[in-house]
Amino acid sequence: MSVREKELFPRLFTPELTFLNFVCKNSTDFFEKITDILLEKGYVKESFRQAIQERERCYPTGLRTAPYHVAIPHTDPETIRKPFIAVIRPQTALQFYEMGTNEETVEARLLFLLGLNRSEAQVPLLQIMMEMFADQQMMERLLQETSEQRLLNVLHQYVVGRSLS
Amino acid sequence: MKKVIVACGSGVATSQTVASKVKKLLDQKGIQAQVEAVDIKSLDTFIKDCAVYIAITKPAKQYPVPVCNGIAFLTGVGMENELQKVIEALRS
Repeated sequence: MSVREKELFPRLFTPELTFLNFVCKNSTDFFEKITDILLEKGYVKESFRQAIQERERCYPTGLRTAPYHVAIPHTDPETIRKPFIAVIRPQTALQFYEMGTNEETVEARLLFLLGLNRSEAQVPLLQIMMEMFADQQMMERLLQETSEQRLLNVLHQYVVGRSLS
Repeated sequence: MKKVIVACGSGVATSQTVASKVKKLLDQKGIQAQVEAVDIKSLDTFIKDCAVYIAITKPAKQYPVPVCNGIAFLTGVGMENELQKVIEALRS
């Protein structure tokens, strides 16, 4: 991973957009609540609220990764003000439709909301994250960490470790 | 050079990630191909001159080229199988 990509991590991930035990009733409720937060902190435009839900309906983002399912909601770069990746651990698993289907659902334990622009620089980072979803030990750490900062530290270590190998 | 296209709903994030993964896997096997991430809305334009289409969204219709499951390249589940399909499409 180049220096530029290493700098990407602290720019995209932040404790202010990392949530443990996020309380929401379902995915719609989740999108409403997270949009309120993102708007208040200046990360998205108002158009994000509808765009993210619309996109999820048409092209769902739940991933049947083993053993823990995740979801990676994202939408048009035009609705993003400042690029970010929000990490959300819902209090109870949230049902998302599985990517590539419109029938099957997954029970997402972790959500990575990708507020990205069209840059190519984020691709290696996303690839490492995808590998991480299949890493049971790492996923268990992410599900158990008790503070936002510690969770981000664990993530950061993983990303840096992977990029060197 | 033969072309592989990967399409997702927005042309960012997932399709880019799958495209770069597929490119890497093909490189490792010494297979030359151009792998491109596109927006699903422009799929009809791109599909005309590609050898294989890697779908991340549910295919909406029949296409004139082989279609592979892109989610396998994200989750790793069934990836070898899909990669073989891509390789066969590139060889034919």
